[in-house]
Amino acid sequence: MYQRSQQIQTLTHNEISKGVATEVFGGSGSRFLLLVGLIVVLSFIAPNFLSLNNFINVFRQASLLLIMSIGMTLVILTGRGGIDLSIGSVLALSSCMAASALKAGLPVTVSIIIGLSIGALCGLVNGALVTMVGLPAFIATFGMMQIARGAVLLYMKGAIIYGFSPAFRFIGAGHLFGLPMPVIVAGVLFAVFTFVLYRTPFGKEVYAIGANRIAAELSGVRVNRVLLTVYTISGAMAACAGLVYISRLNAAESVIGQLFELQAIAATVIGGTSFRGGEGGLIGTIAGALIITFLNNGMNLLGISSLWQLFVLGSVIVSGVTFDMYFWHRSR
Amino acid sequence: MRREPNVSRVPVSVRRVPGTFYILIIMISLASITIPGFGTVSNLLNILLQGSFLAIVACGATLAIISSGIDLSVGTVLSLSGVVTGLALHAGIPIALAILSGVLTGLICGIITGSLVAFVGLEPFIATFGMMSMAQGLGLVLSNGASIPGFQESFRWFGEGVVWKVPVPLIIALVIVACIWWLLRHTRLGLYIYAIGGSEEVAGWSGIEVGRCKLALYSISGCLAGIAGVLLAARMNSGHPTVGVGWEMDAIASVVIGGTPLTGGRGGVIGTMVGVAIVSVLRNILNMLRLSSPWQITLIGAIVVIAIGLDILLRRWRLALEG
Repeated sequence: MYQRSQQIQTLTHNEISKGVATEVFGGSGSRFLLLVGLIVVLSFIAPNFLSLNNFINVFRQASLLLIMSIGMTLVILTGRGGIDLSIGSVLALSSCMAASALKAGLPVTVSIIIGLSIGALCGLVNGALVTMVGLPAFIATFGMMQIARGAVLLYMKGAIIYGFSPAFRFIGAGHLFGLPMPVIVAGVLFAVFTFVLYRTPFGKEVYAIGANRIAAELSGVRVNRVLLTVYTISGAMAACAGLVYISRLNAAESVIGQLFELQAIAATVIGGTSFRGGEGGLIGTIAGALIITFLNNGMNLLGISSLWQLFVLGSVIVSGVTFDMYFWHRSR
Repeated sequence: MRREPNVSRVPVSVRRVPGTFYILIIMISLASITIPGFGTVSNLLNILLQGSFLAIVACGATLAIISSGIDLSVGTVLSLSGVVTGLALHAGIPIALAILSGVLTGLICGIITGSLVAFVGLEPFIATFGMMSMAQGLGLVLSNGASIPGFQESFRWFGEGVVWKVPVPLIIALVIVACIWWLLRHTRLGLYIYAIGGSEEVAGWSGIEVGRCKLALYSISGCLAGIAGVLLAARMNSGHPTVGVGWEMDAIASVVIGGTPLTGGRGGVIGTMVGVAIVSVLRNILNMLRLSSPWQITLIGAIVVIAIGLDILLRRWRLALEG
């Protein structure tokens, strides 16, 4: 028995290392090609597209989406229908609570910790519902989406909290070394989680669970603990994105964050992470987030009505994934 | 070794009913005792009428989920077909053709998602998610973001009319539910859909043309969303591009509350109707209690989680007792 589990362990380990190599060098290559193609096309047809200001603007917008998509990617990687529909509502709840803590005169760090803990707590509840009760992630996070949204509506009663201290405004609107703070926050988080996902046992366990949950369990992975952690990270990432968002807007209200979960799912899926689990990763997700943001930016610059943008987003998701399947992964 | 539970002691009629059926009974009895005006004939008829639109949409969602897929596009396809019908009516096209155009819109959306799933090989989540955005966008573009109000009397009959005191949408919903029940229980396609949900690979090896079945079931789902969209436009006397937002979630919740697991292969349309009834009764109760909309949002989320969670825990408990 011991020998067998050793075998499984080496097998999954080898498979995972191979998967990571493909992900970094091969798998996400097509997304970056798609991204470069999009940038080239837009720089020819869209006026004022090719300027430093516009690119910084795009990166600033993409950073919010990227922060949320980090959590979503981890959740979707665990497979078996793993998904987090609640991040938009959790974003609203945690950032509004942090905003009211700020208004109550609490120090900035304490308010930020309050916001992040509320997000993490919501994620933890999601994880508990998925692992201990055995609810499908779709249902558990749908419930959390409703509950968190209802809670923030009840808490705020339609009010808007605005006008934060300069110290808090810094994380959304400030600059460091000439770069906007949201970009730096997203960059640091991305670097940390890329390292965690590709270079730590925890990351390998996430892939192992997604690839084959039973094999992972047999080779000694504590599946429930990993799932709890992943959903908690997703909640905390949503809260983090929310803090950057309200700091940039300089206002918080209960209706922010609606449909953000769809954008994050789209970024993750375009980035090549599959709902089958265990395939894809964060490297692709950054390409997905940039593709969506550049597309929106291009449509705005071209003066395309916002009514068309949803239609284009849908077509791009479908055609991007199809394109990828046929031209790069035919052998699979 | 865990033994298979001995279920033969439980009468068949009880086994067929999803556990959440008892939650429905408890909800209705509690509500009729505590809330004045809940148990009246007119209110119950009202619940049935409001539930009938959801029932039509949820039938399509049931097919998709039994095949171990999902259809996220039903809500926005519903809005789109309402908008198309409204535009057709305002353009002076005869009613029959306008209705047909609405239903066809749904059917075409369904065929597109079906082909993406069946022949391109996209995962149902991605294909229907893309269709969800596309249909929403197209509805907004066609209607210019505004609602299309005011239809003639003869069209509104489909939403407001009564035949022998029974509302027309309810009759249409009952007919559709009966058809889908018959399709699942007594036709080859129905059997194949269960087989695909059980194991797509095995279904393929057994000679089932998996692709064609998937195309058929997503087309049916789209077509049903189209019918619901037309009826809802007639009921509300307007085609609105965002009327269907969130309907896919209500439909999926109804299906899962009704005992069809998201992993597919089991369940059926009778269970889904229990789910639809729970969602509709719940909304009605919350309205009658005059709860503000934030409370409604919160409670619906909590009750969906509790109902499905209880069902899962009870089943696990029963297995542990018997096994």
